[in-house]
Amino acid sequence: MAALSFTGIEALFTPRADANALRIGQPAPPATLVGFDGQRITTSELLGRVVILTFWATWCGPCREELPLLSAYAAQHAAEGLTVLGFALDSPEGDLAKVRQIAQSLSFPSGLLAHATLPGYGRIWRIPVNFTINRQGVLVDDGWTDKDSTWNAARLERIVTPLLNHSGTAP
Amino acid sequence: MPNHNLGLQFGVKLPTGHYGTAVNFDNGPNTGSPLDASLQAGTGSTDVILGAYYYQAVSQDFDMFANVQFQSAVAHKQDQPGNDFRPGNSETFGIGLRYEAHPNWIPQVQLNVYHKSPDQGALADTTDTVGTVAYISPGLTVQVLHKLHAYSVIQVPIYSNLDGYQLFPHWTATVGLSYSL
Repeated sequence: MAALSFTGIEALFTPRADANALRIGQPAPPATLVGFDGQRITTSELLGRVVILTFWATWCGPCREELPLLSAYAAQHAAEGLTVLGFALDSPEGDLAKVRQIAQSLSFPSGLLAHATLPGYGRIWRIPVNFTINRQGVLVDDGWTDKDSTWNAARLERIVTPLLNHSGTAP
Repeated sequence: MPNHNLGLQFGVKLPTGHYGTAVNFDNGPNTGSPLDASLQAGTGSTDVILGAYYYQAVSQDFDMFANVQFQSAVAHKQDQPGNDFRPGNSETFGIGLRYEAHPNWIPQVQLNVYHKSPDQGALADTTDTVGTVAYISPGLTVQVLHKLHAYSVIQVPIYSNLDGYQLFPHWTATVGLSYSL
């Protein structure tokens, strides 16, 4: 019990800033990617673009299957205003060479997620999981409430392509 | 990290504790005679321990885990006719939930079932060493430092079916520290 004093007993009763606060139709919580090249990209800087946040790991088979498709789609639609940010959940003590190798094969930037929790998005408890934000910064697809948020061609066409066809402006 | 893990465990228990005639009653009517084999610190046996565990996140805030373990003596030093002892096999099964909403303090509850077969041999008290017990075990893990965690578990029996006369605690508590490299 003495250990509680180290972390602060008030933490027991403080609402978590990192909890899942996602609501479809509401502004998406800001997320920052620190890429393997050191570049910081924050979603709040991407207003006017359609943004996909995708979470993957080298040990995640379904992720490895969807990444090439997503990479190709991202390259194909970048000029139309699509940005994909990849968050890798591999351990910093793991095989980073392999993580970097996969990241370099993708058309979009990726970086390690420092913790398994992303503020506003909650604990990333299963992958692959994806979140889609429209040009106004509003969440339009919540990977937690979508039972299968893994990308396939039909799903990209249904969710993302219509957003790219709208040249909406930032609020 | 959010994933599911399946692991296998293998261990060996060595016959390091005192057993046999090394520990005798030092008073009372049995002064000088060996303590009951099942009450001694050691068994004189070499045991193999096999186990497996499974861990998976099941929702944003909850993880589940399960484990099984089997222990069996494969060699025993007390093996002379009329002076032999082999501890009974034991099996343990556990299943639990961890509440992961707060990374710094993680409550958990688990159900454990333990079964032990009777000890064998002339020195064994075969009628008083077999039984099954189920425990409910609430616990808490607290992050003290970056890689240092303190944990505490209280084990409360909710079912017992023990043959003969056996020592059986009303509850037990475990407190410890763990450091992840």
